[in-house]
This record gives sequence, C-alpha cells and structure tokens, in this order.
Amino acid sequence: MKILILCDRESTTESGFNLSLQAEEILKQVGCEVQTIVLNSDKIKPCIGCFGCWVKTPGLCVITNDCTNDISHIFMRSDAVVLLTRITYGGFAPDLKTFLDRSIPNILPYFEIYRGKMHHQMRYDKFPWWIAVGYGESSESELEIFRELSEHNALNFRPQKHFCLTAKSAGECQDVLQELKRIFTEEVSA
Amino acid sequence: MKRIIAVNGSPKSAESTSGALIKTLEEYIGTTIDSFRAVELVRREDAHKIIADILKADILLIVFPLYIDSLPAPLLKLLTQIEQTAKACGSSLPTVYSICNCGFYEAEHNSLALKITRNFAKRIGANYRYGLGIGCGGALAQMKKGPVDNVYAALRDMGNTIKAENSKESEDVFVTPKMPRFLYRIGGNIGWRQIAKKNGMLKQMKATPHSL
Repeated sequence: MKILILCDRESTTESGFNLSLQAEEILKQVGCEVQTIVLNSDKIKPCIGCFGCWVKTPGLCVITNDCTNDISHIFMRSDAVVLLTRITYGGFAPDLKTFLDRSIPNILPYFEIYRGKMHHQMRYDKFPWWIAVGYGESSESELEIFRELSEHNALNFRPQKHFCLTAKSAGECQDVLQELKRIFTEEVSA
Repeated sequence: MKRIIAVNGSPKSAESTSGALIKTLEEYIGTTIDSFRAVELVRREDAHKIIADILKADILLIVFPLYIDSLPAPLLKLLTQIEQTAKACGSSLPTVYSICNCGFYEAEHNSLALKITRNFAKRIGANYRYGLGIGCGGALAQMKKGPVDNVYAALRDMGNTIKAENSKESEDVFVTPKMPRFLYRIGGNIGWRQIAKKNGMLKQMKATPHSL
C-alpha cells in the first residue's frame, strides 16, 4: 500500500510528539510504502479563491510557483493519506489547512446532492483513504469538532474509507500509532 | 459608541461576499467598522501592533467564506497570532461574533467553521456572542432582495444585537435564501460551464491530470 503522510512542522518535533517519524516507521514496519511531506504554511501560497483550477486549468491550481500541484499529484496517486496535525480550535493547523485549501482542483465545481445535502461532484473515480490524526492538548469541544470535521471532509472528498484518531498526550500517541498499525496491517494482509 | 473591528477572512482581493456583508452590517449598525483583510494582515511586519489594537475593540467580527468545511488558512493563521497576543494582553477582550457564508445551498455546512471560531474565542478568554451561517453565498452578489430577504433580516438582527448591551452567548443562527435547491444547483452548474466556455475549457472541465 502506498501511503502519503502530510504533517505540520510541529509533528516533527518533541512538542508534536515526533509523530511524523514514529508514524512513518510503524507504517513501514507493516510493509507499506511511505512518503512523508512536511507542510509549511510560510512556503505554500494560500488559495486566492479564483476558481481557476476549475475553469482555466481544470484539475490543476493556477499558482505554479510552489510545490502544491506536485503534492496533489502524489496525494491522488496514493492509496491512503495520513494527515498529522495539531488540533487548532477543533480544526487543522495552518500548515495542513494551507495545503487543503489548495487541493480543491482535485474535485469538480459541479454541484450534486449527496446524502441529502449539496456537495461538489468528484473529479476522480477513487480518492485515497483519509486518516486524520489530531494531537495536542484540546478541550472536549475541540476534540468533538475535529471528529465531526473528519466526517464532513469525507462527505466532500468521498474516500473509500476514513478514520479519525486523536491524542492529547505522548501516551495517547502510542495508542494512535498502534491503531494506525492495526488499520494498515489488516489492509496489507487482506 | 462601541468600537467595532472586522476581520475579513476572504482571500479575494476585490468584491468578496465577506466584504459586502461587513458593509451591509456597517449600514445597519450606523457606525464605522474598521476592517482588516486577514490575508494582508498576516504578512505585515507590524501585524502585532494592529492585533494589539484589534484586541482593544469592543466587538470583533470574524467574517469569512467556508473553505474545506472550515476557515480559509490565512484567517486561521491570523487567529493563532491573535491568540498569542491575547495571552499577553492584560485588558478586557472584545466580544466575538462570526459570519460564515458557503457556496453550497444549505447554511448548515457552515456549522463546524462557526464552532471553530467559538473555540478560538474560548481559547483567548473572550466572550463569544453567536455566529451566523449563510447558504447560497454565490447568490448574494447577484441578489439584494426577494429570496435573500431572510439573509438581510438575519444581518439586521446581528446589527441590533451588537448595538444592544447584551453579551450573553447563544446558539448559532443558520439562514438559507428562499429559493428551490434544484434551481440553485442547476444555476450554479450552468454558471461554471459558461465561465469555462469563455476560457475555451469546456471540454477539459473534467480533466484528471493526476490519473494513473
């Protein structure tokens, strides 16, 4: 299985429980092919809401002087994407969110009704598994929103499978890593 | 008179729906709202000074479009910067209100984004009043009355609440313009096709450049 780990800068450090390195190691142990990309919101330009990716260069962002289209390329060709982020008010951290805002070329502008509500149509037949992993000291309300957000993201991107894992402490991070291991061990052996 | 500051979270440089909503609210309240664009403010070297000034206001309005079920990244980044400054701020903080509009029909899509701004207010220790979620954001630029009367009524309500002294936290409010969903969906889809056609891209609209 080909896995892309997208992480915020903090998850490569002690305060982010070195989660990115640990996740990469554990996924390699179970036989997955893993690539990690550390996202930096100071290097990725923010989406400017121009919709050029839908009507000028369909499927590709019109901002081409950073690596976002390349990351999208790796993203869409992966079987699963693991998003490691500090939970920020219940959502993703700015490093992750800057990239996610720039990932709308991967869906279509057209509307459709899906599970009772309006959403965009899919551009690709398959969207990689979506595994959101949120870490950091968070309130109950923030944790709940992070889980709900993962459900909503799944309605908009429609991955075949999606998971949401959260860890408030280094100890809980170990549980999250074991859960990641379980998810992918089952898949690799299936 | 209360001092009101708005943070416009739209990354668009001109004619954003968020900017228009701030202007309308300004008319309803009848006082000047100092407005800052998040995308510009986060890049400024003197951002911390402006943020310190924002925190001295009576009311902070956070107005933005829905991006991937939550806040546009530059706005999110700005909120984290405000949080840092607020930690060192001894004085009382502004009461926070937020308005989120989305291109989808149903206003409820904005629910999580509004909750995120509520959590931001809690993190900095500010009062949060309520949020307003607006559906069919794409229609607001083209219509000023009729189906969107309820949107403007909800904005007027927010204006009145801001003018009043009541700072009690309450539930978020959601308002979807009164138009049939199928019409909004068809209108939207035709609109996308027309723009793509103008760009000579109609046939390529469903391109899949990252396919295996």
